[in-house]
Amino acid sequence: MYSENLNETEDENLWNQLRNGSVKALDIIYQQNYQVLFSFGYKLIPDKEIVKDGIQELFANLWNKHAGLSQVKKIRAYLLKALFNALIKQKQLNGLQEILPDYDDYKYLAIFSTEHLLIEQEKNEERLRKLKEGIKQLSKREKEIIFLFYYEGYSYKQIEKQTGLKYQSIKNLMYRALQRLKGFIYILAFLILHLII
Amino acid sequence: MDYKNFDIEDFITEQSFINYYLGTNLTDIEFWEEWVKRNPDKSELIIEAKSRLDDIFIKLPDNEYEEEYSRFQKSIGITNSAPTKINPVVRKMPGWWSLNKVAAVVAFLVVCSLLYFTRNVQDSGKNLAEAELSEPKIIEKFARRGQKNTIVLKDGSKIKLNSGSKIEFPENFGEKTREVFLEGEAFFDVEHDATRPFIVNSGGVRTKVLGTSFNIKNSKTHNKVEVALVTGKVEVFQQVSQEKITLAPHELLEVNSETNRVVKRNFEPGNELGWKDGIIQFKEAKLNEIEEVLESWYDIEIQFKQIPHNKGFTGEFDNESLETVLQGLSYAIGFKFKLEGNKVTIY
Repeated sequence: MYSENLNETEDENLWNQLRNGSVKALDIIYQQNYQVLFSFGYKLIPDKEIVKDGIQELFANLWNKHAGLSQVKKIRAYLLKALFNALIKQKQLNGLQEILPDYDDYKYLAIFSTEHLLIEQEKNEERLRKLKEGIKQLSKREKEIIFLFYYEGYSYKQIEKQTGLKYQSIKNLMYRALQRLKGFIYILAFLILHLII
Repeated sequence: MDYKNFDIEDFITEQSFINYYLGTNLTDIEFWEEWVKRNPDKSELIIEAKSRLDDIFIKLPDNEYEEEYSRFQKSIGITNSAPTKINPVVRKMPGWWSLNKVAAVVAFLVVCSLLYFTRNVQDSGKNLAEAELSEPKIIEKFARRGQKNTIVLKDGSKIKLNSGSKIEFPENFGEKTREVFLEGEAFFDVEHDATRPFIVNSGGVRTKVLGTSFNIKNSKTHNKVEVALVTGKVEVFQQVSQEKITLAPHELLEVNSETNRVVKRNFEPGNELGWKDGIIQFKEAKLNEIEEVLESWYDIEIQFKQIPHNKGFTGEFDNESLETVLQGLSYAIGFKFKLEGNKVTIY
């Protein structure tokens, strides 16, 4: 009942084609993942140009080293982690980050980062405070599921497997989490407007 | 699956819908684009669902994505200019079947065009006469005072009408252009179609675009039409003077409909386009401007028992009630007010 277009065998096939030097596979991987990577990267470092360059470099590296790539089950998860490491390194080089955080500890927090809001919207402290409160109310489980589903592109079936939860409880958790974030749309609408411009 | 009974939460937790929103899967994009076209009554729900997804993602705008994508293609040495479409490689379809299917479609098209061609030759004169007789049906949409209205056209373009505005367009666009007629203010997000420019007629000004987003405001009390461009490129024609001006993003063109004077300036989109996110903005606004905006925004009548002294008010109200707005203004400008139903008295 839900599309399974990011399932593991598909990913494994595509990845193997890339390892064999298929430009087309790389092209597809790029298009299937770009916006999620950008979104994730921008929440880590709210600077469009840095994130764009980071993704550019990530794909250039994939291409240059395609023959030496190891096997991957979930392409998007792999790319998110690779981008994370590259961007954090950059942050460290710029003296903004002292220690290298671990991806697995940090990833759920990253997508709920409000740092980008701070930079874009200094005058709306009240709104920012509200958003932060909403995010604080999310449980770790809720954050994890949102990350798996929206960012890593896991299907419900795969999330069931990963978390041991049933389909209905996953949906319920997700609804509740989204409900909590609901009041804050306007902040992001504002932000998106800024981004477009 | 029957998406017709889908609620907003159902859409935003549906994987294929998310793929469509993110533009990451061609099959899903095509499916949902078609679905949205077929279900125009759901357009507001879809827009809201997308904005809920904006809570979770921050997308790179389409035009910048295109730039990045061609940079990527160059860097790995793909030289063909046409982008390789996202192709579900894994879809396993036996070769003979897809070949057969293609052949069937081609044959069907050939038969159709033959039929069409022979018929056309036979009674082309009659057809022409018929086409001239059948007037295209014109659709009118309003946003009444106190309301805003989002309209999705058949070509996928979105129009957000501000309070007290009206838009007219033919039920089906012609083959050469997509023309609409605007009174008041609207924000346009036009679907790209290089073969059919999108033209907005408003207060003697024609604004022509291929695919972009911009705002047009036609204020009768100020005798002016303003075209503000957010993304892409537009051409503006002033019909009386026959002047043609091209705008770049962040540029705003003001045409005075009395003097036909044209002024081009840069604008701050955060300041000019807040209305579409429910934000009322004033910049050194005089009383009559404040009156005009509030009357239309909240569908009220304002009466002045006494004219307060106002040098020009600057400030914004984000999705606030009328009472809050009046209170804010009364402190800043210095007046007292009484609010009864839809009547406001200033004294």
